[in-house]
Amino acid sequence: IFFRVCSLFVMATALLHVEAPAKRMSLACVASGVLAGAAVVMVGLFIKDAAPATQLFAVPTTAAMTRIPMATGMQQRPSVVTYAIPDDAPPVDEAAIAEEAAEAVIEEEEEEERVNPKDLFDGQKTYYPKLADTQADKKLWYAIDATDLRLGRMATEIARILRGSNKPMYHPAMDVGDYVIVYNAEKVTVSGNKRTQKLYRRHTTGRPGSMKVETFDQLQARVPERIVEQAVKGMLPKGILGRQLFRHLKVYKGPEHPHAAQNPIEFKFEGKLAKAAEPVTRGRP
Amino acid sequence: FRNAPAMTVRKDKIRALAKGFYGRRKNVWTLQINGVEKALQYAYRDRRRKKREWRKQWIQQLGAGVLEHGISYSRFISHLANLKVLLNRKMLAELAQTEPSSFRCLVEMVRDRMAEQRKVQLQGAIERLRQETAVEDLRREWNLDKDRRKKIDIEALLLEREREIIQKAQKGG
Repeated sequence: IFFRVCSLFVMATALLHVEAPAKRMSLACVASGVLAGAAVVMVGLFIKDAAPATQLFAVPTTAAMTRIPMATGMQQRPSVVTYAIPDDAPPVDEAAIAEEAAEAVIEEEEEEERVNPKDLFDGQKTYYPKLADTQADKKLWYAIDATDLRLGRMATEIARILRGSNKPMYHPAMDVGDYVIVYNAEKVTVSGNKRTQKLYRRHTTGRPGSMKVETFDQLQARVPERIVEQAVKGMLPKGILGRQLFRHLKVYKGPEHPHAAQNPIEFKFEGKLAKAAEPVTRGRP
Repeated sequence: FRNAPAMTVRKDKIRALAKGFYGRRKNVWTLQINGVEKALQYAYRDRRRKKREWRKQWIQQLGAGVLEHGISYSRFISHLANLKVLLNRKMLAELAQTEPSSFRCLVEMVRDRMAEQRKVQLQGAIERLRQETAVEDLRREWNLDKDRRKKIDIEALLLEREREIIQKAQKGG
């Protein structure tokens, strides 16, 4: 059956190549459109011992299935794919197709263009994000109110968003993440006795003996943004890309931030992330 | 004795492989040979690693795509296997990226199955609860042992009671 499909496709492309060039593009578009449409149905056929295709439940056909926009490069990909058809699929009416093929006007040409096998399998390559997908206009902006959020639990989620790990288009070498704004940074909390016992160290001059040590609450009184920044920086990859991702994090003291023009989406710590918003019960608050 | 033609042929091959190396490693023979040997070893090793890396990436992408719909990758994959969906991770990741509706179909299939499983689990839990409450009621009714660690066989007790009743009736009669 696989060879039957392949041969049909080869015949179809041969027909297209052989007919007048003006007709070629439109027919190619129609053929690829049909194949793309058929691909969705063929996914259903792939499923063995499951309900027949008519019982595929109604999927809500809203415009945005997910919040994340599709990559630009993907819309231009050729939808040339072939799937194996199982034996219990409806039979292909070869007679009718053969009739149509016979009726088509075939002009004899000197050379027949051979179909390059690579074209048939182009759809099998996993998508690699292009430069266009890493541009700032493709990125979403998220705003997080850090009031009473636990520092580390919030920071992991921020790092995930910055890196793009929440997207199916994720690639570790490309910047496919989003921007994150954190406000009310001075209200971030830690559990246990960390408020007075967690130390932040820095070497001011680079020479031994010039290490400065501060506790969490001292640093929060002085430069509260740095606490969130350091937490997230430690969770991002270290390197050129990691540094670039870190620049997409904007932390502010207080409720105001200057990025209203980016229409940031308010990010709530709910559901699986609800632990970050749980009130601190142990230790000195 | 130096066989110049044969040696240059061999060295040229290695020189060609050293293109793009940093600094003297691309120009100087002793560094070239070191670099190229290591590079070829890495190539051998990484042809095997490549397969693992791709699969890792597909799983990460799948995990992200599935988490958007509120399921974890592990649950998704296990239920998909039980539903005998043979799509591999590469295709699933591709669907998650380019065919959101089809992917959503798969997610909903898994969700239906999870709901069925939960129903069966609940029924089992209800049954167990019913049995436990029945045993508790019997304990109270018949003033049985206070020792709760003893497992009570309801049927055996009932048979005993029946036998007692029968014996009493026989004695009386």
